[in-house]
Amino acid sequence: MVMSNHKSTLEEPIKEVKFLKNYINGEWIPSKSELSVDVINPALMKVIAKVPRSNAEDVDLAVKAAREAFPGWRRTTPIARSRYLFRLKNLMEENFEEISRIGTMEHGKTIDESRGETRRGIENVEVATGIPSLMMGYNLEDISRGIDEYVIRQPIGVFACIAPFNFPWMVPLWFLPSAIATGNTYILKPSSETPVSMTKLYELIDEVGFPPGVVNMVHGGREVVSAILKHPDVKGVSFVGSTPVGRDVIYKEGAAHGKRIQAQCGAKNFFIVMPDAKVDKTISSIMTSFYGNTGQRCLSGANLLIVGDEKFYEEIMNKVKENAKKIRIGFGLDESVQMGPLRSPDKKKRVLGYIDKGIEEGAKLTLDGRNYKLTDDYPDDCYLGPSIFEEVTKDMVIAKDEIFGPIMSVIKVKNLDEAIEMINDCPFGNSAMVFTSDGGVARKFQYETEAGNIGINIGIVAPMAFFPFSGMKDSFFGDLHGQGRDAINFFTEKKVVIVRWF
Amino acid sequence: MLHTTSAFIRFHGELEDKIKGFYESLAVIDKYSAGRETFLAFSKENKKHKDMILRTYREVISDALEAAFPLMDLDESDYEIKTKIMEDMRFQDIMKKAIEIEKKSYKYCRDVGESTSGLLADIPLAFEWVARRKTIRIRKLKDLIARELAILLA
Repeated sequence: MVMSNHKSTLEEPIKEVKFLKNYINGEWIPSKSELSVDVINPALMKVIAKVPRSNAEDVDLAVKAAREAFPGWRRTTPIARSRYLFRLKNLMEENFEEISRIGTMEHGKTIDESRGETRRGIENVEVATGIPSLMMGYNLEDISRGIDEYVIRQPIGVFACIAPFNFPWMVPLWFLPSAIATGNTYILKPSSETPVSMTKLYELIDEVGFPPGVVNMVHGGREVVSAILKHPDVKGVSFVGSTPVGRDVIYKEGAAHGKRIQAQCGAKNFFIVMPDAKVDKTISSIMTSFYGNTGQRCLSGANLLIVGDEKFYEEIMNKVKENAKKIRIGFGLDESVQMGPLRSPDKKKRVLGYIDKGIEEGAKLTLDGRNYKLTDDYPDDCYLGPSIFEEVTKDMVIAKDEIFGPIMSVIKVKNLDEAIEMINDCPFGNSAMVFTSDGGVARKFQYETEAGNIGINIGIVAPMAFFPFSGMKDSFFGDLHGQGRDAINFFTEKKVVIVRWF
Repeated sequence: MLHTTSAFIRFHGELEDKIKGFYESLAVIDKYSAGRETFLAFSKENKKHKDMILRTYREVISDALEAAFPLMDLDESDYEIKTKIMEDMRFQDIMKKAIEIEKKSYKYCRDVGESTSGLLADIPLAFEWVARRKTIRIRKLKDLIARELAILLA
């Protein structure tokens, strides 16, 4: 237990170092590799778990189990598969708080953010329980006299997910429930930085009693990724992570080995404030968009574009700075904390590099996140306060690179056209937000902006489980996105049947 | 100070628990028997309010919600309630105390509703609903006082 003066610090669910294992064929088994790495709670710099560095042999075992489970699982009726998911959903609800607190401990995000993530994960399970309807095909009688034609959807085989560190609970659940609901079997490789909440998920999966081999988990790093991508029995891979890895490794390598790939990648998101925006509500959204999850989300605001005269600019920026300065930083299980640490010292170092870069490029650092105050006596290895750069120009590195930290780059623009042009020039296309009271502006923005997730007075455009997570350009590689109907298409093959009875 | 939605919800739960305990204590004191039924109903309702708010929060909290950044912080000391029952308190006194408590908890629910109005609508709506229930309770407590007074004067 953390000793803290804050009466609002919640009890930690991880009380001792956990030694994680792989979950293969319905059993917890140690990795064939003897290597392991520490999982650190970045808020306290304490080891909370040790995760194995599994190898290709572990992947092979998992694929074998999944392949052998597939024929039986695909014959399990959709309604029966759906009932497994109902049981899983109930267990998730029962364990809601523990799951959320684990998320805070392994990642560093605040408890509100973790609960939001837990809920998003559960929503994906809820949607997948509707598989008997979602998986239906379609038909037409009499395509020729006495002949009918129909489309059926069939599962394909073994799918895998390579998950990121920033949403360790939610992201795997964008894929896993739809994959198994449609009758496929599954292998998950959680992030080795944040593997504990997935271990909790698999404990629940074990409790549900899925048939052995239907859902498997192999911890590890590059060797596991490479083995998954090359394995001939893995039919498709879902990936969430950086653009260089997603584009140059996952997409290329996976496609070269004949797999279906959906690679959801990096971002540089633009947040536009129009002069007619409702200021107070916009400020709340700016705070969560830029500083929520400590800026470590692919939907975070990165560039704040303000349209309007100097007076309006000052009004917005004064409020933004005033609110950003007040953000309480610390361990997310303290309920008074509004922003947690970055995930690791390396990540902090990387973000600090961008602060130096911004200064070097001539942007004006009007709020310096390097000077921050913590709510308690925590080790400062991963903490960083919110930063604001003003007088940023579109050609600066800080306006172009994905920083993945609590840094806001503010750019003044003349009008909506200039803002849209800037967004469309950006190679990324994950999300873009506009805050306005003008329907015409909103429509033009949604119509012309080249980004896959558009927010109209919404600061984090996170699509619900029944809609696809629609990144575009360098933010997505593949054809079918995660979630929504895209997920059903990704995890099924369409088969056409033409029937004539003599 | 309360800075986050999580803290708002926790404090609300603590408030409802405290009020629930207050009414449960009143219900077993003979000299307040005129209000026993109301006290028991209120204490039941306190649990319902706590569960309803927690359920709403858990069901709508989402990665996209500005949960960590409500429009304004709230100061716990503004909503402090005193539930200690003194032995010499008459029915009228205890009713006045109950009304004070209800007013404080009404103010808390209303203020949270306002502070979270920038969030997904369900959370402020749930708090506003509970705040409305508090005004009904205040009216019921006042009716109880009036009824007891009428009996005394008769």
